Amino acid sequence: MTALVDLLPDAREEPTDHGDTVVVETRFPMAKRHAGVRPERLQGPVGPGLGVLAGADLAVEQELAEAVFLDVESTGLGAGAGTYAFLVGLARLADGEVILRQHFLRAPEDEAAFVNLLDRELTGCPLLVTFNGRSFDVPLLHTRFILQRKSLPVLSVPHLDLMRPARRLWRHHLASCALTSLEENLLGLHREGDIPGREIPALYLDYLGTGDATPLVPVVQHNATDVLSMLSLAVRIRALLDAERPRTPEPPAVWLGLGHCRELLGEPARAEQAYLEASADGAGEPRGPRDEALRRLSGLYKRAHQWDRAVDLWRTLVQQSHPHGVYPYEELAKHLEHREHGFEEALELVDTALFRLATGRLSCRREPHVVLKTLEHRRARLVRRGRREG
Amino acid sequence: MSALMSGAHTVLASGTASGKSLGYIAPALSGLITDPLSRVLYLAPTKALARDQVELLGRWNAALGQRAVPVDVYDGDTPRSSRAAIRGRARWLFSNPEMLHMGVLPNHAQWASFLANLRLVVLDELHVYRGVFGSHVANVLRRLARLVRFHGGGPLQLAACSATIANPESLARRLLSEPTAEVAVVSGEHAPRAGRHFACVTTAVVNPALGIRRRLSEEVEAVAEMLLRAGVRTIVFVRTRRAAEELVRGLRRLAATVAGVSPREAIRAYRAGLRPAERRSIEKALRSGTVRIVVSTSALELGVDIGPLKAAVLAGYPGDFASLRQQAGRVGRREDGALVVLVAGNGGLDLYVAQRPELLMNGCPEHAQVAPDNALILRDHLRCAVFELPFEQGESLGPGDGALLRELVAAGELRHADGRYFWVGGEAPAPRVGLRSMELRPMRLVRTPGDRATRRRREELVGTLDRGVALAVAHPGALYVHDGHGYRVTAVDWEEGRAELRASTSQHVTVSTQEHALRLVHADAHRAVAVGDLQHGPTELVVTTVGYRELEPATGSWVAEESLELPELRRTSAAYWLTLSESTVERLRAGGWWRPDPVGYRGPDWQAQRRRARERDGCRCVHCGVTEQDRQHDIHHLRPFRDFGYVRGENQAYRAANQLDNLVTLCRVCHARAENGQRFQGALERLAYLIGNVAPLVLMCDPRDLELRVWRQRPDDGGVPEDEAAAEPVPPSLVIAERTPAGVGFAEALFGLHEELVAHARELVRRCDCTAGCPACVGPSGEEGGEEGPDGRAFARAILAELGGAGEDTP
Repeated sequence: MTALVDLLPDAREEPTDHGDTVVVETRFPMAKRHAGVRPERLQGPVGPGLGVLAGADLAVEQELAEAVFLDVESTGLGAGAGTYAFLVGLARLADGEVILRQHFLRAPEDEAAFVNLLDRELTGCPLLVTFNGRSFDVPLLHTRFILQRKSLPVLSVPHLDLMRPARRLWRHHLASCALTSLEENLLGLHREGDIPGREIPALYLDYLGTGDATPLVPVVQHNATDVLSMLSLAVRIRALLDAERPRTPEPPAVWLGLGHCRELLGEPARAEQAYLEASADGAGEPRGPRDEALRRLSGLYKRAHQWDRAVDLWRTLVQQSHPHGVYPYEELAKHLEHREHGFEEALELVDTALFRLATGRLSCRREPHVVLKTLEHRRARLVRRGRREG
Repeated sequence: MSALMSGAHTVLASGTASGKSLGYIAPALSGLITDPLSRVLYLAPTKALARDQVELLGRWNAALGQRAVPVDVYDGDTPRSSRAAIRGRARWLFSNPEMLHMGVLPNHAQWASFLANLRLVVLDELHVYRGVFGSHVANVLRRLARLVRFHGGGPLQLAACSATIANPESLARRLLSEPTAEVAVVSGEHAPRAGRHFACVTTAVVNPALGIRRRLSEEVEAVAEMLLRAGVRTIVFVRTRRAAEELVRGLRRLAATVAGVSPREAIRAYRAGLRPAERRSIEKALRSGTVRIVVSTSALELGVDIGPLKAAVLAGYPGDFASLRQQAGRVGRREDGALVVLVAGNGGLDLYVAQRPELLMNGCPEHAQVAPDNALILRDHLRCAVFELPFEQGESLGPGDGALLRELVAAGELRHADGRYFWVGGEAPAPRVGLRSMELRPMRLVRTPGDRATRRRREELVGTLDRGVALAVAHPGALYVHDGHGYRVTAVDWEEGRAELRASTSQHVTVSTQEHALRLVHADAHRAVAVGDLQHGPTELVVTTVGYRELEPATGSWVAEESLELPELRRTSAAYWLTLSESTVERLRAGGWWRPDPVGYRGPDWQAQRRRARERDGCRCVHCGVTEQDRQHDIHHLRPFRDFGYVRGENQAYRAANQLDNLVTLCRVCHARAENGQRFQGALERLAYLIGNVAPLVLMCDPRDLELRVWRQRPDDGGVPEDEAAAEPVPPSLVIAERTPAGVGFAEALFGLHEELVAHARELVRRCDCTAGCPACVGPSGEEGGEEGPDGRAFARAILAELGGAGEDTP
């Protein structure tokens, strides 16, 4: 029967109107690096890149250093009413320090006190930052608050969910965009003796049975790392999205992600630049991201009615011998048919596409039979028009 | 309608199609319009019915214009992407008990505003909520009421629609767990209904010498063909999905010869296992009138509006009057008359009903029973309830839950602290609590891309089947019919739950042979009773599909027989197991009550006569003409062997019995059909029937929750190879097994209530008004004693006398 307060020097009981609850409080200087980034770099506005892509358009002007960073450990994955949030880590910058306060639910019967203190601490928070908090942490806390007949104060404040921009930026580059993978591959942080997330619920339920909090000490550490890494990640994402050129050279796959982000942000010129970087020849780089970049670039030109450039790209893509999408064939055929009345060449393209599809030398992302039907349809029309006008 | 408006719980109980929907729609709509915050929850036992009602409401809403009330469907087919929006906006939610149980209640915080403003709950098809299913639903409603209270909503008012049952009022009270609540029952036929004509048809005897009757399916097809040619729009109710598909196939062949009819459009199957889009397309085609004959399993019984049909054909008595009345009620919804034809099958119950057609029109309605306080059911819902909201001091979900809570604490699923109970059992319990005893893992039937041209196309899902059904109808080599299309099952992956089909033009059908073995895993309790031993405990039913044969349906003769090695299907359950002692059987046998008495030794000349008969018939079945494959055909006595009164060492009667002109060669299938014609029921079978009638009343469950089996040696009449006949004899037993996997405690209860059960059985025989036995007591009278002999009741009394206890039983 060892309580958490006996195990961690920073843990203490704090009073509320509904009894005591446990908080582990740690402070770090703002200038001390975590995962390669000094938290003081959070200073400055959220900015359009991070703000829009993380789902908080209204927070663009807000000061990022005023945000509360939040991460929840729970007894299960669903947000069902019987799933408890038992450890809620909150970090914020104040007085030149990073203050990390981890709220610990001693037992389910203490939830009133636990939620009360959280309520007090979250009230007035101007900006919330999480990693996957939109689908997990916030709905779960919302449920816990409702069960205690309270409403979650941060439900209506701007909420930056870092998972969204992280995925857009790095999904072509990394096999996994989980927080630990981002830490390892981007921030150079290697967790020592970390507890895998899926084992955490059982550890807490065991603790409720035995009363011994010793196995939870690494869980507290895990949660602390999660929260602090979010600080570094927010800095990195903002820097990458807002900078004219990244501070360090980035691989084509990241340029591709960046181009996509810039497109979404309504910056076609900067997107073009990113796609050009992504498609630049580099020895030993995989082809996939570069082709994808060309494809996206062609779409960018098409929407800008820069037909010559788009057509050049489509022709390049069609001439490549290795298998990839039916997209350039379709686009080029459309262009030839509607703008240049080159029915014969268009027909030839469609036939090539059909032949390559049938022989497995062309892949497609959509349902194969839908693609086939569209192509057949186009073919029939080209034959008709060719006969009539040619 | 006015009862509902006044705020009382209301049950609209009447025959089908008397505007029941209207009865709840109008007050619900008016409530929603006058109180712009209020919410309504509608629950239907099937998704199809809920969607049908939504469509109906769409027409109302169209008429309401500006004041239209938004309605939302929240069921398993609702896309995940739109669920959050529905949770926020729903005013009138259409769902089903499973979705409430697994989707809404465990996530009630997200439904806070809905629950806080919920006033009216509509239960459609109330009579379906009985037995184990009803008991589960009653507990789901208890959980709902508890959460509604938490969020500040309620009190809840119930509006229910029900088919005619004997006790709508008490069923509603039990489902609501409000034993003293006032329930207004509105009944009577208000729908426009012109005269309906009822007809009963029995299957024709096709081989008088063997007593073989035409198959039910053949007779049904003949009736349906008549109606098709006469241009009468008809619904045919069959019992199984397979029967539905086969009939569709047969009728489509016939429809091809009828002018102005497109077979594919005019004949449709409506049954479980259809994809949602398919189901809705059929419902639409029914309403638009392009369908001439729809063949349905019971899926359509549940209130879906299917437009004007003129005739209903019932393939066999559906088993109870409520179902019969509902099926018959599908037709004649408009002013002009309608026809209902019951094609009776070859069972005793079917024939009994066929002889008394007046029952079709006014049989007694059944009682619907529920037992929401059953400890095992209550315990499951207690776990769900604590997950949803910690249990407060003094709170209760149902009587006796205090002990259950302590039990769950001891099991480590709940935590007891500060006088409250908290869920500490990990993941949500609801998904592991099934409301209906359904198999969880369905089998996917996929059509594999066959030839080279379509190689790159994905495989296509044809349908899904329960694992158990798949073993019987989708084994490798099986011919499977879906919406009239024939497929051959080419490969099955039982682990993955996937069967591969290839289109087939074969007009044959395949019939599988299954062996059922039921055993008591161990006895939880054991005691001696007057007639032998009584036990209860977990049982295991092992079903093995040993092979199949392919038939030519037109002639009924078979073209191939294959053996199969398939995984066994194991079903665990619990059973009450009454075994008769040898001395009891001896006494019954001495009194002539033990029928059919297995004939063991058939005289010294039997083997020689048997060989001669086979040679004479050329080893071919005299009825269907099939030649023996790897198993010898049976030799059948035209006049039963036992009729000759042979007693070993005393007379030579075997000579007359075994004369060649009394023997014929029959294949196993035809033999079973011939035996059917001379089925005998003895004292044990009568007792089983009687107990089957009494047990649901004692347990407050639905007859369909129990499965009755009489376990004893097969009465063999020749043909059984020596080694099979020598198998270990099974002591004759009466087994009542629960249909719910692992059981909900009925077996144990029956064990404890054995004497009460016998007393009720005795009382029932004494009180029944029938003369010779009827479905309400010992079962319809058969041919036990021949024309002159004792009737079914006498057989029952004989064994009741053996069972002892109070009262006199003179056979």
